[in-house]
Amino acid sequence: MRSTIGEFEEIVLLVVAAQHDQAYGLSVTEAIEEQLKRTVKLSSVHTSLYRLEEKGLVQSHIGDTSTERGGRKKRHFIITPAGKEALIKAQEDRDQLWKQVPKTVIDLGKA
Amino acid sequence: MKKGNKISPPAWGIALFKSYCRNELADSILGDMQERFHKEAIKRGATRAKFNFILSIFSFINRHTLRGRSGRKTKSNSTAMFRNYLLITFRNLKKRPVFSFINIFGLALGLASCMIIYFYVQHELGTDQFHSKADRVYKVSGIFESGNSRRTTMRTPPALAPHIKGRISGIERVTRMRYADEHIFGVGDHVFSMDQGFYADSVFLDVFDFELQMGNPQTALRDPNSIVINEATAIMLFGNENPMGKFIRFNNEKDLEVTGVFKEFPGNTHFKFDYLMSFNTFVVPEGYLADLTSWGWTGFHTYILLSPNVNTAEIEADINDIFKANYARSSVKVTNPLINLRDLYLGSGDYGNLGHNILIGDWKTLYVLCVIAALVLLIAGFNFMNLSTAISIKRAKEIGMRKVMGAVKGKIRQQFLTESIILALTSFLCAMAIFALLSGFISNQLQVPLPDQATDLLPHLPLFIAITILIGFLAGIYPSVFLSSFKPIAALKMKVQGSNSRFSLKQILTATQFIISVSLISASFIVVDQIDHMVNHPLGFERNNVLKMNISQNDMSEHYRVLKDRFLAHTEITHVTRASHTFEGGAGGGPAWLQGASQDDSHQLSYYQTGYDFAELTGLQMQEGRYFSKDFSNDWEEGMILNESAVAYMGLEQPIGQRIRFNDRDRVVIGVVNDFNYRSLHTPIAPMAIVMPFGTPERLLIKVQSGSAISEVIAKLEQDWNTIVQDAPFDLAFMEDDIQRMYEKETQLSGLVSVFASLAVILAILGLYGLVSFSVQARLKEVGIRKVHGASTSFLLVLLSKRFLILVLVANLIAWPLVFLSTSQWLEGFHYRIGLNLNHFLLPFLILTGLTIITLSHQVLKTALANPVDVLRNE
Repeated sequence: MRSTIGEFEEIVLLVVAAQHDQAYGLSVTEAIEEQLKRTVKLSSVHTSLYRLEEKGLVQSHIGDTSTERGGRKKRHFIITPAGKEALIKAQEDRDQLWKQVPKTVIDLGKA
Repeated sequence: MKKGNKISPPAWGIALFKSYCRNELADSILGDMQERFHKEAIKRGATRAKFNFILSIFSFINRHTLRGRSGRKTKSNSTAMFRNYLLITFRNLKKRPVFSFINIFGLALGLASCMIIYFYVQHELGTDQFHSKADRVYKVSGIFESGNSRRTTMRTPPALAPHIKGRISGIERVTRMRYADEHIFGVGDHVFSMDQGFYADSVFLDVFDFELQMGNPQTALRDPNSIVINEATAIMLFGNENPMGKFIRFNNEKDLEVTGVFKEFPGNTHFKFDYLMSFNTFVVPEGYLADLTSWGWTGFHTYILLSPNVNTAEIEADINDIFKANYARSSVKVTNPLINLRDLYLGSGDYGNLGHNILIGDWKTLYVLCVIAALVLLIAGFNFMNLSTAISIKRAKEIGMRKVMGAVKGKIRQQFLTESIILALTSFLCAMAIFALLSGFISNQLQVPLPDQATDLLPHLPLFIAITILIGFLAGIYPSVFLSSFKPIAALKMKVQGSNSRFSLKQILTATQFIISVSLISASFIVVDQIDHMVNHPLGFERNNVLKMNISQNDMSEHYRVLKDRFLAHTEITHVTRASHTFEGGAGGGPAWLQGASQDDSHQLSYYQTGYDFAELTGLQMQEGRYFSKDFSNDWEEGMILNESAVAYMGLEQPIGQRIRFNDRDRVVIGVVNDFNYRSLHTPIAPMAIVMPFGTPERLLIKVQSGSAISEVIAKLEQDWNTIVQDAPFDLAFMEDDIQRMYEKETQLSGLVSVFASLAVILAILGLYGLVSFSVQARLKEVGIRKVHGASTSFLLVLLSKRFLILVLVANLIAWPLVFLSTSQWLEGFHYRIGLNLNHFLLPFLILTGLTIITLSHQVLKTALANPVDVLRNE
């Protein structure tokens, strides 16, 4: 299993974790678009989700539906323990690197 | 745009997406897309939403969504279902063996006949296509027009080739050739008579792709007295010895050296030859007026090879200019169309004067055959459809059960299409078996070349299989749509009925089958009649009991008297005479000048050279004057007889006594003979002269008294021959056979049409049998109740068969005008043709009605005579 994940994958995984039980393709896309102000294609998010699933970082199951969806069921994604580990590792890696950045270069408090 | 408006993403987009996306992902992704579409439509409008929707359909194409072999989670169950369909198909076949047989065998017959026709057409179309320069090789032909008369000739004068060689830019090669008459070839003590050959120059082997396995193609035909032979001839003449450099005694006159042996030809060709002799071996036969510088003797083939990308029209004009500059008769308009080698075989049917050993096909025959193949296939396909639909009613329970178990319409359709294609493929296997069994017989009987080895068949298999699958698919559409529409509950209760309307599709299909069958029977009657008419047409001469013997010139001049006396000594033989030609199509030809006419003003006449008894032996009727007689000593030198056409052609008012210069002699017309057909009846009779032999005729005609045992007579003749002429083959034939050979193509056509017409009828009747038994079985209870109420058997018979008989009648009424129109057009192509009469239409009608009644009676009688108790009990 590859434990390294890319930047976009990390974001998607974070959103899945954030939305907990309610994450599905469109909700993740909308979260990224609205909160991060990034334009992102629905298909890229889906592809990313499937790749995460292949890596064992998320799990999917068929969920509920709504009239807007024309009666089609959602595929919900939840984060797996491995996914959580991967996120934690990514965060720790970052923290470690951040600590090494001198305050004179970037001062987080003043930025 | 408000929420709740009935705005939805384009359906085609959804379908497109579904077509590529794996099933387990499709639903959730589509849901997301649709949700997004709605939100976007509200925010930014429908158009924008639609646009983005469609864009995302394409952007979703990637390895996760695409259907593939490596299933993500579960295996698709379609393979399992397919296996189930196969199983059910074979169970059903086993359950109803008669119908399975009719279905499969019927289609197999249709497919097999199509294969036969396919190979025949392929063979004809492939003629001469193997020559690598075929697109640049042209044959120079000739059309001579003056007033109302129009003469077409495939052959050109001998002087043409040398005149155009090197004088017209754009022509790379010119080759001329002439057929070889029947000649005697001797090796040691053995003599053989061979008539399939040509004189050709060395350029010939350069222009055409007839390759040599031995010998040098550049030089093989260069020197006089060279001969190139094919392998069969080499084996016949020399056995296993190497033939190269060996000598063959030609007509007991000179020796020919074998300078080459052909490889087997890679395809078929319009030339029919076993050997080629070098052109400079050719000697103008004794008594011919013309020589090789003649422009009037149209007895030679001229082929030219053009440089790439030249304008053929210009070349044609150039050749025509040269021709006109040299051709003497200015009153005649001459054109010289160039015929491309690729079109020569099928496209030259209108040309006359082919000469011997040139084969010309007929695209009309091919056309007729293709139509027949399509019709036979149509009948077989309709059977297939009708029977599948009829059987299906019995399978209503199965369909109902499938629907209850969750099969949707599409799945049931798929099932029946699969079934239909499987059946079609099974039929194809049977068709291959039928083809293998029959091909030998058919290629012999009908003179149709068919591949007899599996390897020859192999390249065509993909095409056949594709066509079979297509037929299976097309034939399966109707049953599958019809069956999948069953309501499950009604189907389980067995309440499904075939459509009861008067014009159900089934009936229309059956009627169409009958229309086709009637048309084919009618047409085959007419074709057979026309061929009979031609072969037996009063030709203007007696051909029964006439034997024809081929004798070489040497033997003829040496032994004629003795042979004649010997033969006449037998009481069965009434006449013996000799002639240069014997009604099998050939005739000599040459220019004739009326007394006082200028050099330019000649008339082209065919001619026969005959002995004194010729008219009496062959029963020619004199219109005026007399035939040659020993009482007039001048007849031999100057006597001349014209036929009616010649008199009309030359415009003679007083033909008897007219002086004409012909064959280098001044002659006097002593008689006019009624026209007789010395060529195929496709063409009208051409002007002709009869003279006494100036050369040595090579044919002996022997008239046998009618009623005598022919085989005994032939044995006696052979005995005489062997005692008088020791070293030449005894070559005897019936004149009747010769004449029939002129109509080989037509006889072949009539054979094919009859075979396929009978086949069509068999198929239609098979289909009818299946259909009748089903429709009658469906009415078993009705019949039972009627019987209980006192209906008589005869009433029931009429009741059950009425519908089918009406169908036959209607089919006939529709078919008649169709047949009338198409056959009248075909008959136009014959100069001597039959008129259509009532028999051509009534007889097929009676035959078909008879067959229908026989087919019906078995099932109908069984039903009408059944005990009503048995039928009604299980209610």
